[in-house]
Amino acid sequence: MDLEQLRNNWQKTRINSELLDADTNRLTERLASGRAQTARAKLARYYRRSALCAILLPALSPILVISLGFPEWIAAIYAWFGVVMGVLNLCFSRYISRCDYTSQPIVTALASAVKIARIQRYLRAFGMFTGGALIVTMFVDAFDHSEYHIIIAFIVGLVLGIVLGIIKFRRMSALAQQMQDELKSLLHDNA
Amino acid sequence: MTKAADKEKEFLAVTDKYKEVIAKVCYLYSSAWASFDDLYQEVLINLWQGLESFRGEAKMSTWIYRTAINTCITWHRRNARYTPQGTDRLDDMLFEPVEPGDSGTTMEEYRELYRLISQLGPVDKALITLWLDERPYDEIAHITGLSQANVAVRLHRAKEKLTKMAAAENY
Repeated sequence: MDLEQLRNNWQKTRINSELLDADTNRLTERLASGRAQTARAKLARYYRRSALCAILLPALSPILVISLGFPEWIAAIYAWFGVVMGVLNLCFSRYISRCDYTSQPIVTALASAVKIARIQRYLRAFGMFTGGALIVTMFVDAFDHSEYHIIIAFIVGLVLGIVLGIIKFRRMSALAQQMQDELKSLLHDNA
Repeated sequence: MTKAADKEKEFLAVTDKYKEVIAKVCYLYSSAWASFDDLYQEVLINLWQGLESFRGEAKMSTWIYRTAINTCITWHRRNARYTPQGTDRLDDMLFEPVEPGDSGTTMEEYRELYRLISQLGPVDKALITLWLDERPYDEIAHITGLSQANVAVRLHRAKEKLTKMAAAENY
């Protein structure tokens, strides 16, 4: 393969601009009216929504005691879990919003993206671990009281949660690892 | 004219001038996980948002390359699923033949080049993209944040890798 020849051909290549212009004009209208968001803004919004959902948990905790008959200390842990996850998700959402790296040099942008991916992994791992521990505690308590309908719901929820969490965690880890390896090699060569 | 209308006009002028650069970067970074359309749109949104903060400290082309490549490298769709897609549609849609009557061979070369480049890591891909567009080493260093010596070394390695991959497949 002659790379130089390919580069010359690449230089001569032209774009079918009619199609690009149509896309650009459509998008510009959306941008001008504030209806288009970056993937980073969408990611920040996702964590903001997750924070709002988590902060609802303390409000739901009395139901555990009143309707489902759980002890108060389990309801307190449930509420604490919601507060902690809510605060962490909100802080992360704010961090993503502030972190504008698109016009930075590629090495800097990659470092920021690696950091975001790393925090995402830690947050997910923390949520899975503490949430899993909470569910197991509730399961043990329900088992002691032989409330079988709750036990079945817990088992189904636990298995689904673990399977989905692990699939997502593995996918996220693979992407983060690839970026991290690339960054390590860049920093090593640049030193 | 209002400020918003000025911004819109400036944005359209910039994207019109650099649309080929943006399209070529998105073409080389498009994959099963990131379609050309998604990347092209995301780059334009980032350019729109960064236009006001661009103070002309770097060359406009440098800023465009940085934004386009950074967007492609760090772009990921939440809950992205593997959706294999060929390059035929992209070829037909975006690339006109270099010379009339020679389109078959040329498009075949592009497909092969695209396929080989898609196997490189994101930064090597950036270096090859900038090299294909004949950017000088000092500008590549400025865009990537690497030293010029490092750019030369990594680029040399990336080209070697491409040649070896092509040779292994008897291309």
